[in-house]
Amino acid sequence: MTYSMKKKISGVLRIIIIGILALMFAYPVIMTAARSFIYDGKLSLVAYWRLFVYNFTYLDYFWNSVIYATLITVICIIISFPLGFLFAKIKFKGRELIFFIYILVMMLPFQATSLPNYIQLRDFGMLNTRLALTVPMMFSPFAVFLFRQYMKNIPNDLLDSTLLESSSIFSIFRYAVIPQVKPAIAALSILIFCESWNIVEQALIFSMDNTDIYPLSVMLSNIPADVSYAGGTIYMFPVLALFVLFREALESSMEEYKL
Amino acid sequence: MKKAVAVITVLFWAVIIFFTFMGETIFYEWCPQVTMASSVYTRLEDGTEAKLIPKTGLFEGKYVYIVNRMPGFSAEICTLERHEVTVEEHDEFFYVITSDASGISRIIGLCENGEPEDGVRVNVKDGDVSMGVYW
Repeated sequence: MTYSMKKKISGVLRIIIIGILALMFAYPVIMTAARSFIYDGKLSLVAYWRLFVYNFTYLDYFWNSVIYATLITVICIIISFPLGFLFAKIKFKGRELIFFIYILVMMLPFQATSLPNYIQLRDFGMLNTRLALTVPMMFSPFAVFLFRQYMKNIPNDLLDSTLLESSSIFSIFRYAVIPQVKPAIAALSILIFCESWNIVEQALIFSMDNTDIYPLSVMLSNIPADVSYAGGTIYMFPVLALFVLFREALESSMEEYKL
Repeated sequence: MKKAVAVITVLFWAVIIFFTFMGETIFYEWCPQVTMASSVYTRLEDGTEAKLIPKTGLFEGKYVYIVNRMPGFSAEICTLERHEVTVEEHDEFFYVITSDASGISRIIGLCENGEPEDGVRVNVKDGDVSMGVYW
């Protein structure tokens, strides 16, 4: 067997294996979407009609999820952006130690920080409010980490020249930093949106006495069985659409920083 | 593909926003609206107790409907269950049930915005048909 034939066979095998794995991941999504258009054995939109009309509070929970995910994404980016710049470009005593602590906190699972979070939220009087479901997630060590990695590559000469021209830190951000980190902002927005779209434990623990503010991720298990596929499809759609529309930005930023 | 996804996304949000504002309204106005009839009994000449039903509560000359209630995700799910009865005229407003009505609890007295059918989902309005008429 020649080398080129071996290469072809290994290429084909690779495609088959990756294709099978991709199918295994995609199968639940495709089946949920496909079954949502079948009602009583016939192709129709009746399931969606029944979902939106007979179970009209479904959309209340849907908008809860939209509001939480959007708010968390926007504010997380706003908070993490200057922090990333701080760790990347500003030299101060203890910078590396504080950043190391950020990395440590990033490694902790939610279950490890849920009790201290709960106590803090209780002491601030935020339990069973929408703040309990949004504020803790607005502080993301991962976002700071990613911004720092991006901003380390911004040339200091660029920052110095911008500072000379404008003498304002906001001008540095606006003209020198933001254009360089746009892929990071796009990628982080998608990742943070997806993470906050799927919150379950936070809602169950921090708002257990107020079910009206639950996100859709928690209430999805309570919707009637005849509309469950339609409900699941509606729930999946925003995140899938976001990924398809901004896939290039996400892939290029992940590739560039070997994430 | 991106263009197709963008178009579908716009349609998706349009549908979501439409049903956010109109979903509950459509739910309450789309189904037949029924008003319950209070249970009214009368003593017949032979001394037995018989159930009276308002004339508006008898459909197709022989059917009465009761409402089965179940807790739903957004609102109580009320569906009609049909029962066949035999009746005799009692007065201007009521029939008296002459068949066995032991399995029949409160029936619907009025059905608006649609025809009652077995198993159909309905919306139960506040109020009572018989009270105003009888008392």
